[in-house]
Amino acid sequence: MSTNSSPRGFNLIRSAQKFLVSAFVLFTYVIYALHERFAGPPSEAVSVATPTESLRATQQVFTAPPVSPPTQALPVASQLKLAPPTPLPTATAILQGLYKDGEYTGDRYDVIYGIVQVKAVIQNGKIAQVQFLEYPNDRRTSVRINTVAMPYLTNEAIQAQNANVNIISGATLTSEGFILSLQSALATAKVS
Amino acid sequence: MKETRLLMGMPVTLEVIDASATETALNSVFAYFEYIDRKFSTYKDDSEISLLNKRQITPEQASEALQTILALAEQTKQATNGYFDVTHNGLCDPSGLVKGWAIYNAAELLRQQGFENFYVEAGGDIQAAGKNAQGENWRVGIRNPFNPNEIVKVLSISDCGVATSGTYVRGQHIYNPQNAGQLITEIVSLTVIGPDIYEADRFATAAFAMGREGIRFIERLAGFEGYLIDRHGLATFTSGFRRYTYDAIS
Repeated sequence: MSTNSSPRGFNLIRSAQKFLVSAFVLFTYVIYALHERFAGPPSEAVSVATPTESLRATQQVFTAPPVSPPTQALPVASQLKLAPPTPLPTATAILQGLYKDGEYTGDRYDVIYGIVQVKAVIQNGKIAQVQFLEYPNDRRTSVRINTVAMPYLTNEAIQAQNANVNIISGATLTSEGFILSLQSALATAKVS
Repeated sequence: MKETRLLMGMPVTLEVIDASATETALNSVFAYFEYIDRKFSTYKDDSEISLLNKRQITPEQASEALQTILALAEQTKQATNGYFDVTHNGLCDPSGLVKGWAIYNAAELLRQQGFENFYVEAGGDIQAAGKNAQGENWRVGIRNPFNPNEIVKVLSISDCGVATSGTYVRGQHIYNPQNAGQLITEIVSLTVIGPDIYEADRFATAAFAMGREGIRFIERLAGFEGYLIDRHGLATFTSGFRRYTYDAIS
């Protein structure tokens, strides 16, 4: 009996262990499944500086029903009506033909990051074009591509493209040096 | 009909393709930008925002326009986890928010006058509607942050907004709230395409302040795409970005 009881006791422990391991695996799977079900796309698993809470808040901005009842889900700016601008006929009239036709080079401005200088082209009394004559370019564009890209994101080295465009987007046009140089160019062009 | 003027301390360009475009229509939009400048310029002592900062008026006494901006500022601060905050050292400077909002409203003014094909651009931020003179989508170039005479990407857009935030933004409204003194130097340019310029601009500003993480923030925003350029000239773009690039569409 004593020789039998030992394996039987051992079997019981083994069974209990098997049960516990199975239960643990099953439990883990259920938790994982629930997490996958509610946590959204796999990108959520990647740690991001912004907590999920803030992203939810962000999403609500777009999904929340508008306060006033517009016909469609318009962006926030359109819901909050702005007082209609007061027209300024005198101010705009003065602006007509404010500048003399020609090309005017602005002063060179030494801003923290280097020298900026622009040229304004005036046609029919209006600004037709603004060109950069000087701009700091100290940062080398040596490219070291890290192929371990983030999920869904793609990397590429920037490359100059054909300039056949209608509009240009860039922060350069609000840089201090640009504005100062353009203002000095326009001061020269001004009809006295 | 196309015209550029220097307003609000930046070049503002309007182009209306519709044959019915008039000088008067364009003037009314430029007048709107002047009105916004008088109201919100922190450089003008008598602007409403300056009066508010000098405690000469209370938020309750502010005009409807200023109250709207204050409400939008609070909402944006929450939506971006504090990355976009108009209050610095106790003073309110909503310039970063006003710009996109003003462009959006300027475009609405053109729309209300019946125009369908136009764009409004201020300081490199754009609201584009309808088609260009060739009857195609508007072609928007992303400026090379290392060489302003060059573009590095051509977008094809219609009825949406495009905004670019960069290192050289005049009046730094962009800072990292996790480390207020830290300068954002790792990335130099972040372009965001959004449902309109108000949305694109405020999220471009906030995402830029996040540094490299900003592009992931944009990836996770529904209806937004982004193109980030770092200081090595390496670009990272979101999964839907190629839908807006010119090569993909032609």
